[in-house]
Amino acid sequence: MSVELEQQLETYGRWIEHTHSATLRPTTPPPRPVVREAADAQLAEARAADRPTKQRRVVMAAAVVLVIAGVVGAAIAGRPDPPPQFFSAQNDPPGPLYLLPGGSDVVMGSGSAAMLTGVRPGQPSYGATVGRAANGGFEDLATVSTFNDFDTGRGWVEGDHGGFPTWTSEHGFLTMVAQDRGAWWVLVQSGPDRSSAVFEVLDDVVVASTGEISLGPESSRQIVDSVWLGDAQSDTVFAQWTATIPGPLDTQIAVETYSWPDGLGLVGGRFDRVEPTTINGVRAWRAFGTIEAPVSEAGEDALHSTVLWNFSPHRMVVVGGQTDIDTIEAFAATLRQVTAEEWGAAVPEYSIECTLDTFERCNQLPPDPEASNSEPTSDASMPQPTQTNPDPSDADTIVPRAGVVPTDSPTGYSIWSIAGDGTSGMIRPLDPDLIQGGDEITWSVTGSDTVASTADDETIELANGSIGRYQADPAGPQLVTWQQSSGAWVIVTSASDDISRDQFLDVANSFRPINPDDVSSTRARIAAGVRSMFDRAVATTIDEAEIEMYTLAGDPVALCIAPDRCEVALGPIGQIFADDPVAAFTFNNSDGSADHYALLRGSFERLEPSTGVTVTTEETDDGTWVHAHRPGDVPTGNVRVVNPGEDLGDLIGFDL
Amino acid sequence: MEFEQFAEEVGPRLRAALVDAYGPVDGLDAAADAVAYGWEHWDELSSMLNPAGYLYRVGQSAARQSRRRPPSLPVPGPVELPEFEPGLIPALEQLTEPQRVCVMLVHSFGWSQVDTADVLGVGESTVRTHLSRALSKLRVALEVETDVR
Repeated sequence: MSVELEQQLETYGRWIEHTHSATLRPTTPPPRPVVREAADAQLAEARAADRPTKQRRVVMAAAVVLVIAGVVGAAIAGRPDPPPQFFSAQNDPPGPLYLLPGGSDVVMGSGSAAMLTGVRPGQPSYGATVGRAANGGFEDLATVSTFNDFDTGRGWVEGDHGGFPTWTSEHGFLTMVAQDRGAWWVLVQSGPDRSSAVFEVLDDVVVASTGEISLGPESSRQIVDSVWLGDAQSDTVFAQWTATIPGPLDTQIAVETYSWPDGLGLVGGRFDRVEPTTINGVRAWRAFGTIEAPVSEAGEDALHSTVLWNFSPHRMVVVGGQTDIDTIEAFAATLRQVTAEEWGAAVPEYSIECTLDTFERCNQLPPDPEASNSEPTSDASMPQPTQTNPDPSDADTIVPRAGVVPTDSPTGYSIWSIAGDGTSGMIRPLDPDLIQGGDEITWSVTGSDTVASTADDETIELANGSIGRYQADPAGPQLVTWQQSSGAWVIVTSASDDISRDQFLDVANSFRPINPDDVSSTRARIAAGVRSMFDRAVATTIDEAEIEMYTLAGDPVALCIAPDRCEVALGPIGQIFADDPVAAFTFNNSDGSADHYALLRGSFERLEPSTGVTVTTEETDDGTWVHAHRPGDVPTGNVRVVNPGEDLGDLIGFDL
Repeated sequence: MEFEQFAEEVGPRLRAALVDAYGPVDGLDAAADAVAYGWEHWDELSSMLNPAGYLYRVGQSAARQSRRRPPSLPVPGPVELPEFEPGLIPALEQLTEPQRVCVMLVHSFGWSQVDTADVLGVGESTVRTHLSRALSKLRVALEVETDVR
């Protein structure tokens, strides 16, 4: 290449930004907030409107409700098997909340809850879940609803279908079509990429003058469930928590309660197939689907076996997990239904009260000490929930009760880095030829397991007696195990597909739990191990501070034994576009001045004009960089200066 | 922080990350979905430790659900960028998604490693690892000599 790689990448980035008219890099003044004009318009429109935007208040007389109830009651009698269900607004309470039963050995994980209480304005509407009967269940699911009024402002594209004004949208991870049929609007929703299906359903839908939904005689689908929503709806709830069923292969479970009038389409949009069943005598559905929610709390595949319970087209309880459907159904039957007050007392960390008027977060419900003492989830033997933030990426913010680090590196491997708290690090093979191939293995210790399981997971018994879950795909070798003694999950990963299963398990088997008090001594031992893997090149003393410099596969690495005097700098492995690999560091002299030193062509040099090498420093967001230049301004290397104690990732991440 | 301020700060990074992952067409669509999702759920997002990282995952879900083709990066013509190495595009497409996102965010779009780690919801060391591996693979693919002695 005639132009350096980094410059090629930068040129390419600027070209993309220019050709797509999108701000993609840091700029001053700040870039526009949303991607394109359409998105700007969406944002402005949504900002101007009060949430919720889709439903506006329309008053309907109580007499009409009674008439409609009668019509629906008559319609139910003529429906095919299984008979459709009809819920009036008054008989369709919020989705119930569930907690673990007393004496359960299930380990509760994290959770959150949001509740809107009190009467909220709405408009009368019907809702129905429709699907094709197949093999004792229903497939090709969609949700149909009718409204007096419908907002097609944000995210909707206007068109025409069947002679009616029709709008389409895939906003919100659903495929949706809305049609204005005069007195009533019809909304059909299904999962992603189901545009043909929603139009099929739309063509089948017949809307009575009362708004009731039925399907035409030629339709291949039938109504699975239906609901009447009045003009005053209340008690909107979203609550979820995760749990672990211990066993030879720990099973992750998620329990979610959805209940909100705007949630029409939940069932049809999230699942591909439902099969009828009963749980403790209550009608329920075994549901199957591969559709991802916007963010699945317990991993992308967490809900691939799911039981829907107490559901109507606008509310449902979802019990899903990484195991077979029979296990999930049996687990659901053990759950204990609780009131909102009982929920708040048992898991106060999960309680978030919001008011309808302000949508502001209210204070958490105060825990009831007496109630808490009687709740099984307060058992001291169970890890208590520690966060309400549903972001799965935050799982590693939970501080484990102890660290887990390798004790002895398996043959052929050495520890290359370890994080400051001793709970994560990296192991690399000693063979220099493999280093740049990326055959590193990393480990981390977290308070919860956020790794989704796959059907091909292999149960592994490790040398320390722990049971691990090993998978080779889809993200490369990975092993997850629960360390009962340390109360933390250990996740071992490798981004390389080339590493063998045996190599991987050799490393995983070298782990042992340690007490946090032992972390510092363990790190010192690891540091000694790191030294042993280098060919020592130069050691010297500067102003009574010991400096050691090493080479690894030809690359220099500097270690400063006096971290209060040195800012350790390391030449990155495989320094490119430099005629000399270089390791350098900034040394703080006792008189307050600072000098730069470097290892150049195997010799240890103080970088100053007399050596013919000039040094410049650059402060960036990524830290301080040292640029060394030989005469003629030929760059010899760009080396980042690292602050003592900083986690250096795949360089050397510890201080002595 | 108000949503508008948040969107101004995070929007470009989010777009760049999703463009790197899924190409300009799908990536910009996914970013628009993610920003719109962020507006709708701002009450919830604003209490999170890393809302930018959360929205990146929302964008990933959106892109994966709508995308029907492998990620495709646009190729500049020889007249537009005469010095451009044509082998760079297939080499970038051969990288894993995290590697491609990291190397393009940092080197193509000029974001710091700290900003990159924030928007991806990962640690800085993870970003450095992806960068190191990505550059190594690109060098191998483009037959760039590392000149290490």
